[in-house]
Amino acid sequence: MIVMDEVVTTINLSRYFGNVVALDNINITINKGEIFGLLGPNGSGKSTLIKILATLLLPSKGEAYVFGFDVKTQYDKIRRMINIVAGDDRPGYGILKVKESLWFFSQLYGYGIKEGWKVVNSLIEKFNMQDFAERRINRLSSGMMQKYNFVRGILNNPKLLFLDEPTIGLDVNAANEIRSYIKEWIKEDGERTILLTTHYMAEAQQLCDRIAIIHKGRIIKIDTVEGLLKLVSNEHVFEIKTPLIPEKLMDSLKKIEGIKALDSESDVSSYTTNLRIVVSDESIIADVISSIKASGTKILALSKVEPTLEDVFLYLVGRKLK
Amino acid sequence: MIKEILKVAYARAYVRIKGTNRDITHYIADVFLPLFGVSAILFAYKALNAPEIFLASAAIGASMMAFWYNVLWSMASQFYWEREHGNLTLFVASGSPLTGILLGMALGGAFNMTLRASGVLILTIILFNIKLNQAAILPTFLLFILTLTSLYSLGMIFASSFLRFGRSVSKVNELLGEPILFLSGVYFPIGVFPLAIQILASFVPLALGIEGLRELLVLNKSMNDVIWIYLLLVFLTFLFSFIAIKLLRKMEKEGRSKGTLTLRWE
Repeated sequence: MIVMDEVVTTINLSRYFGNVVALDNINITINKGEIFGLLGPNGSGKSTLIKILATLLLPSKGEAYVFGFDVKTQYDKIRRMINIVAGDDRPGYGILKVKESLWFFSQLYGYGIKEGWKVVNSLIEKFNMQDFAERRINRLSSGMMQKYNFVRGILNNPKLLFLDEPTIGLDVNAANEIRSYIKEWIKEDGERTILLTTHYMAEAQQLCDRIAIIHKGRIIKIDTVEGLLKLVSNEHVFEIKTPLIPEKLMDSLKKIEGIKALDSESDVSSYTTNLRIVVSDESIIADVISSIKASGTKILALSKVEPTLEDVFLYLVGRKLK
Repeated sequence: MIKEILKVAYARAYVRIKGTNRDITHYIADVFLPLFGVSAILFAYKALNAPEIFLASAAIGASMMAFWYNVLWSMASQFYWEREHGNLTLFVASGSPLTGILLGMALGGAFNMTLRASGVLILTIILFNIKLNQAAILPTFLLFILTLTSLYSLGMIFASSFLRFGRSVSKVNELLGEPILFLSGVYFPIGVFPLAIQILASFVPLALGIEGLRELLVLNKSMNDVIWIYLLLVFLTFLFSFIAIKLLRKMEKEGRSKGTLTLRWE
């Protein structure tokens, strides 16, 4: 049974592409008014799930409902209530100006011809886009493009907005600007809901009410940011910097008992390796240090850090989100 | 629903007309470059002392040829490019009728090409002193419109079916390009072909249109003499539009199932 406040419900939802399992028995519910995050590495199934919920792709197995409507058969009812913004897309036509392109999309979203211009003009003003509203799409910077794309995504005042990596490739300032728009937009109306996919931990932590960690097409855990952080609140996280370490040493470190999760990142240019280790008992780190020293590798830095969502991912999946 | 289709068609045609005519150099190139091609044929005809009707036929054929290339390169492969740029996803997810998008593409393309083809024809008439039957303006206009409606309806079929193709789309265009021009009798009347090929050619709106225009403008025939061409073009418009709409629905359904609506860079 679908509860009224449930905007999205999936039941054992699976999608296969030939032999490849893109989604495997996904069961989620997204409630009205929340920003629900899907956190996972590239290829984990985030975009496939969005495509199914946005009625662009049929599931191979299971069920999915958006506002209580079946994505398989009642797609026409769903489409008028949703919109999609994908971070790496450049929608519209390069030769059109921003204003003209937004008007074109307004016509697809059901506005009248004159009404479309009115809505576009008011959004341009609201989002301070006057300085590039008359600029051609193919002459926009990445930040302008994403701002334009976000405004296009909210043109039809969707009840459910899919944001697929909305800040990918943006610099810090442009990404923060988009994030503030997202927060502002959802606050304006309690009927609005956002499904956000990202592989930026900070973004998920900053924006999402609840987060689903997805890996290899499966939902590993769903909880609030606080709830997820609690998973590692009793754990200790250490960062160790060493010169580049050989695979053999990594293998032996992984065998040390009591290590909950271990991930390494090597930087060939600086000839260093950064280890991030999650342990329940702080004393285990002494064994790690001994093993490193025994192999003749120096320890350049050692620090204890506050657990983040990154560590939750590491703890649950066994590797860092890259 | 029809109002919605027309509104979306208007918006899509606006994009095409506004975008294509934003840069005047495109227009100049689109008129003058084809002019070189038709000039070469006309100079050859003149050198061979070909009758006047050959020159007039070639001028009409060359102007109409532009529409075929437009149908193939701008219309047929349009959905493919829309998908590559991420627009198709937004069209489908918007819930707006895809038939409106198709219709808008056709209307915008036909309008743009009419501007360009008129330029080519007018310049050819002036430069080569070609004489056409000016009394047949109205029947010619009607025939021209019917030719475009049926031709762009065929373009809508291509646009729908091209959703199946990946990068091979340009090869399909090339495959369809020259044979259709050959069948259309761009530079010579299709009457020179055996009957079987003429029947085949009569399913190509371009061939019918060029033949009709030739009869009206060059051979001074009346509308009644070529009424069969008018009727056949009306029939083809309905037939092709019906097939295009059915095909579009089928392709969308298949695309949702196979993932080809969103799959890019195949």
